[in-house]
Amino acid sequence: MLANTFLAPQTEEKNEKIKALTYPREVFDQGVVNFLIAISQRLQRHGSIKDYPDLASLAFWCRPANIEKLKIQFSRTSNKQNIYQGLGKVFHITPANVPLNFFYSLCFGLLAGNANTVRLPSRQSPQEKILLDVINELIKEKLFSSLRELISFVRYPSDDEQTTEGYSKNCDARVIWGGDSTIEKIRKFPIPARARDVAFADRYSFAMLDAKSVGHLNFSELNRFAENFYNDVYTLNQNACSSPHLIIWTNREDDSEKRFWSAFESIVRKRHSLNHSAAVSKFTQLLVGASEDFDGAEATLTSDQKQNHLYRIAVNKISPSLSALRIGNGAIYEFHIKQLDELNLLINEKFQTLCYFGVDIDSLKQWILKSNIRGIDRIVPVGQALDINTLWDGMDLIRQLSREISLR
Amino acid sequence: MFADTIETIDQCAPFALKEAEKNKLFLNRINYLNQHHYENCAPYQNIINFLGSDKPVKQLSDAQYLPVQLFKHKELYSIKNEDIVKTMTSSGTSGQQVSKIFLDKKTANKQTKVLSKIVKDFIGGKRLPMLIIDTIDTIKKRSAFSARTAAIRGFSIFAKSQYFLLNGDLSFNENTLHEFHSKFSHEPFLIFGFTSFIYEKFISELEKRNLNYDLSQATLIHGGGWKKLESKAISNHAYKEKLKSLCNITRVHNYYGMVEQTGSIFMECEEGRLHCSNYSDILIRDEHFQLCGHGENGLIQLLSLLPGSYPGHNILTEDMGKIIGIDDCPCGRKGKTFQALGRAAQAELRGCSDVS
Repeated sequence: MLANTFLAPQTEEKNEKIKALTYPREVFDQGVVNFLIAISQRLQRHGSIKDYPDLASLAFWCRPANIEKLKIQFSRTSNKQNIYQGLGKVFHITPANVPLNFFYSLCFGLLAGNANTVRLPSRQSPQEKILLDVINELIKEKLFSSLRELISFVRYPSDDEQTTEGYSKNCDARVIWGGDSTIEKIRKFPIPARARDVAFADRYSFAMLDAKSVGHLNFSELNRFAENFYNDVYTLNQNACSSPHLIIWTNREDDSEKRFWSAFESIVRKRHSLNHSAAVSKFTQLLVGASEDFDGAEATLTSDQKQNHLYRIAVNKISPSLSALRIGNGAIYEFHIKQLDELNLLINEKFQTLCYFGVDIDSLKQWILKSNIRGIDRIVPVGQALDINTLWDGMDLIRQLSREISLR
Repeated sequence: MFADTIETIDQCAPFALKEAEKNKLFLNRINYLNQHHYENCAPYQNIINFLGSDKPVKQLSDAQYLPVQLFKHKELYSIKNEDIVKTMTSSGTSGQQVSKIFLDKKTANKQTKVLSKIVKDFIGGKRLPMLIIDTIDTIKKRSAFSARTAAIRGFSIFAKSQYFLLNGDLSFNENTLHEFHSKFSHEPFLIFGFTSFIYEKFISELEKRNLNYDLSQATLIHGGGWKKLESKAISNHAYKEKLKSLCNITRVHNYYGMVEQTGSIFMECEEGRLHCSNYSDILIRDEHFQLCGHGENGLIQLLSLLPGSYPGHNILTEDMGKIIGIDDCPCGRKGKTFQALGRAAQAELRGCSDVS
């Protein structure tokens, strides 16, 4: 195979025949859990972690408490008597838009009890390098020697179809990140009959904020809330599928909304840095929408036109095609509703994350149960839009990547 | 309707107008074009309405510009379908979307005339023998009208006779060079091609083959950008030095322009500055699209008086540049001068589908 970066030692074919396999393993295998915790600890002591918020949140993500939480989340929904075991080998195709996404994909594969081949994005980010160095160091330690066969990283050009084909032929599951176009490309290469694809298609995410509740916040609460929303929107420049692009306001209160925006804008001005190229591409996407008249909606650019940090586009009509008009790099559509039912025709299967603030959860639940909508797979408080979980895109990824042995 | 001042401008030499005088005529024509496109191009009208910039402007910098990428996403034209005589596309690298530019007879003619006017100011009025660093196939394919095709066709109006240096597979053909040299090397002639082609298929080949042709009578004009040469990190200065030492070419003019504003190109003068003509202007903006001062690096905004068939008269590019001066170039030409600094650095990736 043409892969040029093997970071972890490769399984030697000769030995494989003699030695017993070290995988698949039970889900949440203790060795795997210890390894992830070790990564977390090693990273938290790492000097450059403060320069990369995504690396910091990754370290936080695989801390003992969170892994334990994921384990409980799994076992709560499991049949105590049954056995849960990995599938075997998982081939991961990971995206470049979220530099550390590959690691979470690897974690899902590992926690589900599998050996993993992870195709890294062709351009290496500094965060990725730090993380890979840490993993490489740890895996050399005797304590983790049994994990060596479970992890291999490869990097090769995306047009190297032969390599993709080879890995696809030899996997028990294939995880495809990167949206519709990547899925289409990768699906050309068959996987074995028993193998399965776990594919992450293009998604669209939004927020629902209750203006009245926002109005009740005191100054410091308002700031914290705005800061949380800033993190949801700006951390990955609205590039992640769970980054919100639209605010649905309930209980319209113009003064409260104004108050929120002024707090939000001051955070944006303080924390956001925009480069020339992103500014042009953002303006272009805005005008693509404008040229199409925002699909017949009366749209108003409500933000200060002397800056490019934040575009706010208030629309008086909303249709599913608006979700295609994603702008990115800090642009938010706004729409006011009186009742949740007004969204029934908007929500299609593309909708993924709904981050909410001040919204009554029970009415939200009732609405979803009764409205027959096909979208929305995640409902999280503002500030958690980007928090990745083993429940993702409407799937339990541990279950997707493992098998359940029924025992009677 | 605004008075269309293009005819007044047509009567002047291309680099003759000074700032104050030019501004007056220029602004009028821009306001005229704004209104023309507003009335004849629905998507443009939607944009202008949305941005609230539907009023005539008193200053050039207040006129609404479109980002050049927009032509990659939308088909924009202000003429009837049946009046489209030519569709030009940008030279996007493979896999990228390309810009589509729609021309009617009037705009196409205007482009040819203005190009001729500008270039003649540098090479004189006579047609000259022309060595083109490209293959004849580039202009043969009628269906695909790429930026390269457009450039070669455009510049062929200065040619008395044309020789294509490269074979169909873009390889160097020494016989052609030999023939051209023996026929024309004693009189003024032109060499034309894309910046990267001239470097990779001409300069590098002469070096590799150790060829010593005296081409001192040549004026070499090249354009198309330095992007493809980025990995080689070759400067404009080094480029010129090589041409001089290899084959004694001393008159080398880079030009800056884009398919969205064909015709009103920016030629590099003997002083190494890129020049606006009467038909074009430039502004530099920061990342918030606020105007930069002279000497400050920022995004290049280009204005052209030519585009009547599509709303490309005022575009914000993805290129960085800086203004050098106004009406003060030692070469004697009036107008703004500037330096182009290449594509703005792309710090981030675009959207979820990026797995490259």
